[in-house]
Amino acid sequence: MSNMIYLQSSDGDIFETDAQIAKCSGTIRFMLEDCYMGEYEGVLIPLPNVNSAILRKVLKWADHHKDDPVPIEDDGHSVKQVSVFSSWDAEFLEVDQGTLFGLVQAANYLDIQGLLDVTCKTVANKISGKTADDIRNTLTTNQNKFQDFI
Amino acid sequence: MRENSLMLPLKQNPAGSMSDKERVSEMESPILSEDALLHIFGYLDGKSLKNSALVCKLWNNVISESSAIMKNFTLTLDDESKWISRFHEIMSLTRRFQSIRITLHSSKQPYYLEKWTENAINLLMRVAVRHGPYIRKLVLTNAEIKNSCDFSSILSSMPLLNEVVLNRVKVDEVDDFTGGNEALLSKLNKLRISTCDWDIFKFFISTPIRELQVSNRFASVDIQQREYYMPFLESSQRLESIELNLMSYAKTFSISLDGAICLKLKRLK
Repeated sequence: MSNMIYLQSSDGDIFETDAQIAKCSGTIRFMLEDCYMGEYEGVLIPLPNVNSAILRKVLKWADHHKDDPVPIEDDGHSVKQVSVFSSWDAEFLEVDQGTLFGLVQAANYLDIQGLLDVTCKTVANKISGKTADDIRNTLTTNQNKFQDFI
Repeated sequence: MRENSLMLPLKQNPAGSMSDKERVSEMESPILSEDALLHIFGYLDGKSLKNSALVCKLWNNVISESSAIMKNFTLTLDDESKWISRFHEIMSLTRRFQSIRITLHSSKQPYYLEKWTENAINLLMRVAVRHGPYIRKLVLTNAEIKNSCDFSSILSSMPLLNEVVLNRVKVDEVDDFTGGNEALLSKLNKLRISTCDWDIFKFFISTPIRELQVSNRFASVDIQQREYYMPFLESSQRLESIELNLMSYAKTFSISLDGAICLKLKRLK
């Protein structure tokens, strides 16, 4: 049985998706289960903090990972190891920096732990081992962004 | 077929005439929120973290204000850090902490009046198992060791432990711990003890400690207490220095010492 729902990006585009896939997002899962009390066939959820390009990427990631085992929460041993990227994820994250940051923000807003882990790890890898100047140069093509640096 | 519906918006916003790619670059790299930055910084080592703090004011604020967790790679578990209510957050931290600071309760109460509940001890064990493998320094303050097994299993979750600092640690008298921590503490180098029960030494028999610092406030050392530190001194083959912060100890120690240990102490001085 598939339950289709609709997600509206900040640009106003509407994406149809399977509710099961969308539920990898804690934010959406909460809305569907608590706000719509499980009766969510065909509902439209506006996501004002995520634009179309990012939402498309997020859905692609969610679709690929839809069959992943649900991470068991902390009993001390099963803490998810994110140091191992699947090659699919690695390729998925070969994107420009704007998209990468957008994905971090979206994963954070949508509460998608797996996506947040891999994207943050990717950003951290870009920072790791660099001087402050190098970090600034690496992470921005637009120097204005860091101008408040004293 | 669903692939298509997933990837393509059903309805294009009339205003959205440009391609998505253009839209992303138009956003000028979204600024990362503080939440996201915290998550990212969790993957950095100390040096990269230090450099990141120099990148811009926001990053600096995030790093310096993110409580004791980010600073110094120390995980702090005390009342003020409200660690029990933040337990799940602590368990999910990816930082490799190098030291852990555990305080039973605030210093406002006399230390023997309050005890950690069973629940708190259980949570502490889980934190120790989760973060213990990288810990090199343990600071334990205002604690009471009711159960040697608990204490030993905390130590055993920290195989790299190099330095142990114990402040105001009480050891329950009925505890019949008989030693055996040396295997767990094979890297232990430095032990600092201040105002603890003398029986605390029994946990460190045969450990490879090189440096010992004692500043117990209780001045008197009676014969019974000798039983606790004498085996420790006898077994500590690697001991290179002892620092005693109250002169009276030097006397107590030397009076009560005999033979080989006296020689050892002389060599140390």
